[in-house]
Amino acid sequence: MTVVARVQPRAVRATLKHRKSADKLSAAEVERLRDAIKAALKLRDNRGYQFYAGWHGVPFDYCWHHHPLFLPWHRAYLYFFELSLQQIDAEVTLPWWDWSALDDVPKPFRAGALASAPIRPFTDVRRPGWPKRTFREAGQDSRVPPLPYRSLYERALAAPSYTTFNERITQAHDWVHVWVGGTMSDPAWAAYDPLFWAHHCMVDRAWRIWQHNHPGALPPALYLDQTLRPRSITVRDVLDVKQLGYDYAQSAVAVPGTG
Amino acid sequence: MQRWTSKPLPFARDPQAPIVSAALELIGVEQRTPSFSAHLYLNNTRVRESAGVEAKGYAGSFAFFGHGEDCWGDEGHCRIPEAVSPFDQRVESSSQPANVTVDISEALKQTAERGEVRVTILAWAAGASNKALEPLRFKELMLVTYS
Repeated sequence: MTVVARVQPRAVRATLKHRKSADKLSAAEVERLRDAIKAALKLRDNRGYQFYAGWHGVPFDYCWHHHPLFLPWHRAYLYFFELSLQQIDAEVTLPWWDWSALDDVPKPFRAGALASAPIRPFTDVRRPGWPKRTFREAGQDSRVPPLPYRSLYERALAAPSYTTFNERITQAHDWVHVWVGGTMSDPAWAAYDPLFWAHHCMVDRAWRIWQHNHPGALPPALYLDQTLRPRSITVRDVLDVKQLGYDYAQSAVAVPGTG
Repeated sequence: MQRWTSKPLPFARDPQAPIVSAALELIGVEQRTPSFSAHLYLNNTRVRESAGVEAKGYAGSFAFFGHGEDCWGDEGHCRIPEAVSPFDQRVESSSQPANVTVDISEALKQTAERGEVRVTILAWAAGASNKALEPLRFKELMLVTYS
């Protein structure tokens, strides 16, 4: 008889990676992010940019909006996409776009591979009129209030419960999508725009800060064990960003220790 | 641009328990619609499209990230599915109608003496090619006051 003993994996102390503000990235950090996105765009299989972009709208439609799963689903989405970039360059992290302070798209996202991306959905369906590249009409709709959205952001952070926070940050989130316009205003195509990830990092960061200020405040119990499609990760699994290996930092520097 | 005006919504005025905050809740907002922005006005049914946020009765605004009207899939793709049996454990559709809450506390205080409001909503679909669309569809508008 053969007995197979399963041993517990050894606990490993790991260093968290820090997501940083997009307008505070160094030139070298911007270059690395750009290069990683370019490399992801070249991958035509299920490791590549088009695969992950397609989770949100066309063709997979996995996203949740105006729903208690909005925040956990997008946190998991960022997590898996960021890992796919780190498969290309382990030092890359997704930056956030602080639309509560900036009055425009962050500078790194206005040129090159971070300004626009091709749209090549993972499906053999092609409809007339589908965009071939992402585009923006930022700030061009006079009825949409100009950035920054400081008061919307602060109102969300002042929410007393998860449900209210989710509703209020969704409001700010929706305004930003509509302010950017173009393919960013349509969930079918929004995630093909590299700016999408920076926008959602800001939303995720707001949730992280709100969680920090409201320890123990959870999404409704009904959803805690819900899996976040298409992966088997659950809402409970994404509640603590440190368990996902990242945090948000204004800055993060290190110097050598004693060796 | 889309214009919609509600029937009168009465609310109680009690000097012993004055209203401290109020909200309009749009219930059952259809998600299969183009993204749009909307302005809400109280008791100003003739508000002009260009009136903006300075107009009489302006109560608040919101944006809605809609899932689009054109379904890209084959027939039935965007229909909200019903459970096919009591054992159907598939997750609910993410296209279920949503609710939107707009804080109108300040605006309601300005009209408080009337004891009722009619709400006019102006909504504009995002994107130049969607200008003629009427993007806002919802089941019910609820006025909630808190003392």
